[in-house]
Amino acid sequence: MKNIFESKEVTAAIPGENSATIHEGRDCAIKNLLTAEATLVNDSELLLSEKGKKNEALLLEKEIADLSFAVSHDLKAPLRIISGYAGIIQADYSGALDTEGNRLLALIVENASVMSTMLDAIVGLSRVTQQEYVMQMADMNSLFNKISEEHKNSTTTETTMRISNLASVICDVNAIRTVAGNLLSNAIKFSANATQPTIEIGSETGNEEVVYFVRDNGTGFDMKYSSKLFRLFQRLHSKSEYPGIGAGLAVAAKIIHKHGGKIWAESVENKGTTFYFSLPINNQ
Amino acid sequence: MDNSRVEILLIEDNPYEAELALRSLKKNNIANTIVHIDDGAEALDYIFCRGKYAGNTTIHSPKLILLDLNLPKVDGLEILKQIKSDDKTCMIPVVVLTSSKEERDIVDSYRLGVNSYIVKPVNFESFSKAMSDLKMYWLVLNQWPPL
Repeated sequence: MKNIFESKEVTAAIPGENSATIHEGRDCAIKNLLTAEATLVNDSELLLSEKGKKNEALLLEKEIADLSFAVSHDLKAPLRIISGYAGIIQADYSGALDTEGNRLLALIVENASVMSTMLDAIVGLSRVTQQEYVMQMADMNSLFNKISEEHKNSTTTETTMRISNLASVICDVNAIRTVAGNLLSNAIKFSANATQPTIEIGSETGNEEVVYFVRDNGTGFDMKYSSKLFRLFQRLHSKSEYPGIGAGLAVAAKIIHKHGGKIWAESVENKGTTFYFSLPINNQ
Repeated sequence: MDNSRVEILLIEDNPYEAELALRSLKKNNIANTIVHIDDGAEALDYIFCRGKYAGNTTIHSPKLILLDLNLPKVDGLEILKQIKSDDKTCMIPVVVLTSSKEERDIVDSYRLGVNSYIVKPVNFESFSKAMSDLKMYWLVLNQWPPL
């Protein structure tokens, strides 16, 4: 297996360059990351100069891109191998194990799959950072309507959807579609146990921004944990209650921040949650 | 090695990944000859009958090449490029089998003429099914030109 600490000449791979460079850069991504950190700490002069800061930030961005590349390539392989060998035992030797043995084996397979989903989420999140946005006027009515139709088709829950007339705004449509999708699937998931699950979507236009909201009448959460809400892999409910890895809101927040907007939530336990996000009106 | 019998060439450097792939490929009843090579440079030698395969008078033409992208010495994209730019080998179906969903890798592979690009599923059941599906498709269902 390839060693990711392999000592090669330090290469800062630039996304979009040929893959050979990327591979090299990725190979020493962790090493570079450590070097970058050390430089930040040791070289106070560099820290003071604006140009240095900018360079460090750029370097760090590249390192994160490389690191995400390493995650998607190299960390997946050993995970697949763990899952693979456990799968072979399940398929060919399960008769040699008792019920408890088989249960434990199934847990290995299940958790390998959870980790795989988490690795995908890390890569997805870093892709948000790297992606270049195409800003155009977006018809938010058709965007939310389409997504709610898609969700209706993929869920068994009878959810009432009320979408008010939504203001259009300039944004990257694909990215905002991801945000809308994540907020809507959360709303459906967390209101599924309500007597009559209901989701309201609306917007309010201010002087400088449009605020959109997705409101459900579901399980809600204790506002004292709200700071954890948008952090990667943080969850406010147990996995057995509501499945998921805790990546959707982290991705949504990153996209909204990249647009220069804000995202927040208000919630009352057992009454429901409202997620808000704002997008600047003059966004070019 | 009798050239006519080789049906699948698996180019994969990780021995465990290779074992899992070979196991899945051999699982169903179609008898296949599978050659496994774990090094990019050797894979090229094998295909083009160079180096330690120089004794072979004809080019090795497996019915299917399964190619990992991340290989020691010569990487998968370079192997793909060489196979697809040589008249004698360009018609051999090449399927990239990789962990990477990176858009760059997918675009580069298709640009170089890959026939299919598969991201290996982590779940073994899905992986196993993917292997037998692609074997069925490329060796049974798909018509390939005489080489």
